[in-house]
Amino acid sequence: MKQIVNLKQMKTSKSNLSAITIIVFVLFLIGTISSCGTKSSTEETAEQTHEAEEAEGHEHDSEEAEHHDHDEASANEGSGSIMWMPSGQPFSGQLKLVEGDAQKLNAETSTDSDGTKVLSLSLSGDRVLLLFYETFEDLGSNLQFKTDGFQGQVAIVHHYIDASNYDYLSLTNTSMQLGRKENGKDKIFDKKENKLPGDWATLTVSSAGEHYKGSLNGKLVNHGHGKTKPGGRVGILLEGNGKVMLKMMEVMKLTE
Amino acid sequence: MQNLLPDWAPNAHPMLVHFPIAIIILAVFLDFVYLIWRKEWLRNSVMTLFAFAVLAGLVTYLSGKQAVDSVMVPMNAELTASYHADWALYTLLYFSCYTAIRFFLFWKKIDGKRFIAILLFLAGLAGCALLAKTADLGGKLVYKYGVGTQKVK
Repeated sequence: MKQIVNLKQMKTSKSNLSAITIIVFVLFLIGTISSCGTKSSTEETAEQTHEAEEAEGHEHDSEEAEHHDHDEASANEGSGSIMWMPSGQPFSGQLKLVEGDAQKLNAETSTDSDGTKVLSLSLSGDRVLLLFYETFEDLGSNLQFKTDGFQGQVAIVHHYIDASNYDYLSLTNTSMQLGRKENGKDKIFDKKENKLPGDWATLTVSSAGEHYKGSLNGKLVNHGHGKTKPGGRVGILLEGNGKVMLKMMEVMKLTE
Repeated sequence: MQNLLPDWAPNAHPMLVHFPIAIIILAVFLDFVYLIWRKEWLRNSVMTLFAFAVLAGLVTYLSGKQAVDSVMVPMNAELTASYHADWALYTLLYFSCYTAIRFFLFWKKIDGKRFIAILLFLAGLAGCALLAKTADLGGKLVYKYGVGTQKVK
């Protein structure tokens, strides 16, 4: 009699377990379908608004580029992007000279053949650091530059906390490398042979999560990995001898 | 390897990526069937499928690592690409550990016990959530940002 009761209890618990697994499976299916399925209208509207804002932002940027006499840099708070182009007065805009002697650099603004303004700096073994005030966590940045008989490094610095703690993408006459200065110690994420181009060039860096990438003129050169860091400032680091010309720098906040 | 691909394919990743997805979903589904219909061939099939899933996952992950440096990734897609790579690694590590544990239980012939079978099924289901997140980010890279696609001429 006892055995029959135990057998019945076992059967009941087995059927309960089966029922639980079926419920879990169905809930999982519902969850997956609802998360991967069609976007809700609110989400779509928000995305459309964001896209419209972005388009407006770009228009705004190009307008700023045309009328940058009034302000050296344009910041788009909404989309989290900054664009800098030189104006009549060097170091007067958002890209501030943090390290280096402004007078020794013989900074001057001229107009290039394409009509855009160019900031020229003459270095004689100096270290020059120009930084935006804003801080960024995940970011992408482009720097348009040209060198003339320059021996040294042109770098985009990001996640800048102080002179001993920052991340960088640097280009010299021998190599291009992604790295991190941590308490003054240099840690290289990736290093490839390369050289400073003779003509105008665009140096691009992206820092997305633990992935760091460096490109030169749209061609991917470096891909490295490092631990994520809290946000820091972004800018340009120049070190060496010779003339460096800067035409444009933009920084974008990266979002998923 | 590149020579084996058709001209329109940017790399092997988009062709390989569907294999682990399909194999894992099938394995978890058969594992669920096994909870109700206790057949030995189902138990063996599930174990074999998970082993193949890890192998396919590893090949797909490596192809993805190679692909990300060979295609043009727009700046605004970098974060999605980064998360996709990270979640792919978590998924691969999860299923590698899961399959190793499952194989040990299979070898000891205790994976068929009701309680253990349910736990294994639920753990497989949790792995599917990781897989879904990875696939969602991968889909976003292609269909939102056009990574690995070419413009229609």
